[in-house]
Amino acid sequence: MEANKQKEMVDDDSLDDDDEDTQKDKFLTFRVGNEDYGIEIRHVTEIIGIQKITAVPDMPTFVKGVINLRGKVIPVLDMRRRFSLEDRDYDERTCIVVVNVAEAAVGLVVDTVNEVADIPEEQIEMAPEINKAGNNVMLQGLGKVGDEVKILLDVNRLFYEEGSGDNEALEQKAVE
Amino acid sequence: MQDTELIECFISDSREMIDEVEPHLIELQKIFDAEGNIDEEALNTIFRLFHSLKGAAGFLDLENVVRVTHEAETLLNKLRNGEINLGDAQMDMIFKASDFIKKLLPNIEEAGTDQGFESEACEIVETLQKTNISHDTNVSANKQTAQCNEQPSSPPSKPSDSISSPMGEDQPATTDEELLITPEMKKQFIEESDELLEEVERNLLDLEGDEEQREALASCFRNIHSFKGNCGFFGYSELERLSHKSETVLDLMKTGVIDADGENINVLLKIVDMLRSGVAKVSEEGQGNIQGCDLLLNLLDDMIPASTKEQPAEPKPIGEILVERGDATPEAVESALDIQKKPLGEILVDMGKTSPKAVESALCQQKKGEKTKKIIRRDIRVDLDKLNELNDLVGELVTAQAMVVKNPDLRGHEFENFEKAAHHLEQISTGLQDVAMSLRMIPVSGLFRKMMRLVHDLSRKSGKKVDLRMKGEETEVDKTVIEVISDPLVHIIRNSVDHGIEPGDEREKIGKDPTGVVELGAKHEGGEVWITVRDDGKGLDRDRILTKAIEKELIEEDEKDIPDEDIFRLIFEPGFSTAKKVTDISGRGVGMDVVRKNIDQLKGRVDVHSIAGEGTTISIRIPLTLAIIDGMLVKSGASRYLIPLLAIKESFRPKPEQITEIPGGQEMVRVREELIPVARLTDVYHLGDGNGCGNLDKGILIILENQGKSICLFVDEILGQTETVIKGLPGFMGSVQGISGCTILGDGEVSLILDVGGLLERAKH
Repeated sequence: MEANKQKEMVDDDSLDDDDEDTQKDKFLTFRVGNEDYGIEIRHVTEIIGIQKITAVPDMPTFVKGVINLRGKVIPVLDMRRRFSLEDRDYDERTCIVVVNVAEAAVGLVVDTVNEVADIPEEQIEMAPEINKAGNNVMLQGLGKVGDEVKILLDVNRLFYEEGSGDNEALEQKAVE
Repeated sequence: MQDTELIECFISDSREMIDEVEPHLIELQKIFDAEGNIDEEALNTIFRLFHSLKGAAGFLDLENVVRVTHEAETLLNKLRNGEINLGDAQMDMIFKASDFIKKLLPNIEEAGTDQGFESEACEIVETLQKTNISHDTNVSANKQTAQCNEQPSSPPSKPSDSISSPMGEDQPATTDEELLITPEMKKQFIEESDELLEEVERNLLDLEGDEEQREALASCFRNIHSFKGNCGFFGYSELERLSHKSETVLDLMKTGVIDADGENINVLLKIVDMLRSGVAKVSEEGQGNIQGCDLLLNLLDDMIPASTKEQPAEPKPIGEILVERGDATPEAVESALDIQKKPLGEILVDMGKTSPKAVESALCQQKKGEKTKKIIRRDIRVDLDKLNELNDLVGELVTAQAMVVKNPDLRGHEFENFEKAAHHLEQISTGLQDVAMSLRMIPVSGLFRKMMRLVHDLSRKSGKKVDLRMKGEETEVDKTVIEVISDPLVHIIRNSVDHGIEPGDEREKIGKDPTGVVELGAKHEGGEVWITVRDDGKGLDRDRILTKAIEKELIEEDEKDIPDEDIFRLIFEPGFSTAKKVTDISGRGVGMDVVRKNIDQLKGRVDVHSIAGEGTTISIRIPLTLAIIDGMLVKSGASRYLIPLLAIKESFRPKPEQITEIPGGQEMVRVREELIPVARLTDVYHLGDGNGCGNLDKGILIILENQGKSICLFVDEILGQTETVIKGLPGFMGSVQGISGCTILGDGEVSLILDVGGLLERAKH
């Protein structure tokens, strides 16, 4: 299955090194809607196939619910909703990327996982000053890989409510 | 010299000691008031505790503590030999002393010293000295020996081996080694030891001459005792052991169990020689090791008569031997055994040699001895974090085991061997879970005994005589429960004494015993722990509460037919009080609110029963464990929820006639005589699940109850009952009203657990 193949790529031995240097500049890239995104590989713990998500009330729309990850209950974010895209049926390519944020595990639902790309610093440009919505909070930069551009996300800022000037509110909720 | 570890040990030991002292003191006074004599055992226990405290404090240079405890010791000593009487003043003083020390403890913890309390300590010392009619004369001799002189003889098999070892009963001698022993201290030890041993020798020689010389024996004992203390202090273990055994022997000689004859004296003299050589070795930088120490210990052992040592393997019963030899017939032995089977007390009464009453009081004393034996357990201190980790892992084991055994892959298949193995696995994990859970369990006796002091103080302050009784104090409860329930208990007992129990003369007028009774009880029932506080006071005044409630607009004027329990439950509302005046004990209406909050925290409930004129009983019910929940799994829309069984009153499929919809949309259902509002889970939590079954009569209604309020929850179907491990919602998600957590079901999926209290709140809006 696609997901497994993608999982294998991440399990590549050279990446098991805890040494940050070998993981530097490496980004896990995935597709949501029409765009490709990337997250620093050192934050990614695993990639699993989509499974049943238990809904939890009173959460922002992009928080889909929780799943059971080998005995631990972790929250799951739907990236399509996060980027205000329409929902799409899950298929066999849909994956959950599990990342480590502030010592806790969080799952991200993405359309497909692509590859681990090597994006050196010189190839990364900062986000532009001009912006329409407040989505730029999550943006870590724009990375050029060959002809394509990957939108690099800051894993720590995934929770911020879009458009809300007061990010403290959501942070407070997270801290509770 | 102040090692933080030492100080921490001291602090926790001191707290334990003081907690132990209080109930004993109260008992002492009770018995003195009732029978006019001092209960030797209790007094000795208290004395020992203060003494250990003093020793430990001396170790750490806590001057103020030492002074206060020393004076308290003196006072206790005088009580013991009848020089002064046990009155309220004396009790107060001792309480004051222990309170003072309690107060100092946090300071000592922080600063490692008790400086800054000199003036207070002086005050207490002075007042203590004033309450002593005669003064302590033995100023010159070693302070320890002055007390030890009056130590009662104790058989060697008692658990408290070294009675006056400086660090108290629990401290290992190894901490001594961490202490920096200066050469000056050593020199002092050697000088003192030489003196002491010389005295001992002299005394022993005196004894040889005149066997009746009690004074010589006493002096001998004293000196050996001091010597032993010093050895223990410095960690010279062999010297300590040898001198300890010698002390025991001397003790038994004092009471006449061992003869102070020539042979025994010789042995002792030899021991003294060995001790001397040991001391000499110390001055040569040694550890005071004695050659052939074990041999000498055995010699001493031989002197101690067999009855005070532990019995070796049981010999044949004498009846058997007699029958074997033909010296008695089996029938004779039988009938003799029958008489023997009767308890000794009964036989004596039958013979007319004693009265039933005497036997009873003797039995009481015996029981007391047994009780103290029961509470001495073999303990080990465990880091609480490790315990929590263990419990977490065990919880996950149970979940994982459920996931294996109830795996969807196996559905529809019948694997006989697998089932057997799975069942075995389940048994083991359940067993493991029970044990892991029980590790955190502590008997409530500690908590109850703390209340003794409270009741004592309250009774004095209010001028009412109150007797505190306890039952079921060996019931074990999770540690967190003990911590959280301590405050509520205090508040409830305060109320009982202040508002419930009437003043003595009033009670007499209505025919009650002038001494009020407050009874604390604890028991396991079902999967819960019940803790009850019962008083035989005047009970709750239903009408007054009702009036106050109407005043505070908690109840509508016309709701007159409310059952008593619900009215009584109003007392838990914040700020609710029917007290005519506020005393400094209670009356502000704050206490009961704290009670309810704490009990909620434990997911328990409180019930109040009261009969006017007879008394009030407050029952607290708490689930036995906070980590596992017994719940009903239900389906509503596409989601599954787990409802705690404790909150479910009943469930049923309603008939259309039972359902009424009032204008505004709220559905109500009639259950026998009650009308209960209905809440649809799909409405309460908008999870985009659709409306589930639609009409109420197509699904199931579950009546939930929390703190007296009920609601009917509408679900599509009931999936079954299950016992699972509770997990909290992930930190990022914060808290959700009405959801207390989640759990992993047997098929690996996550299900939310409902919190009925929160649900009720939420459904209101």
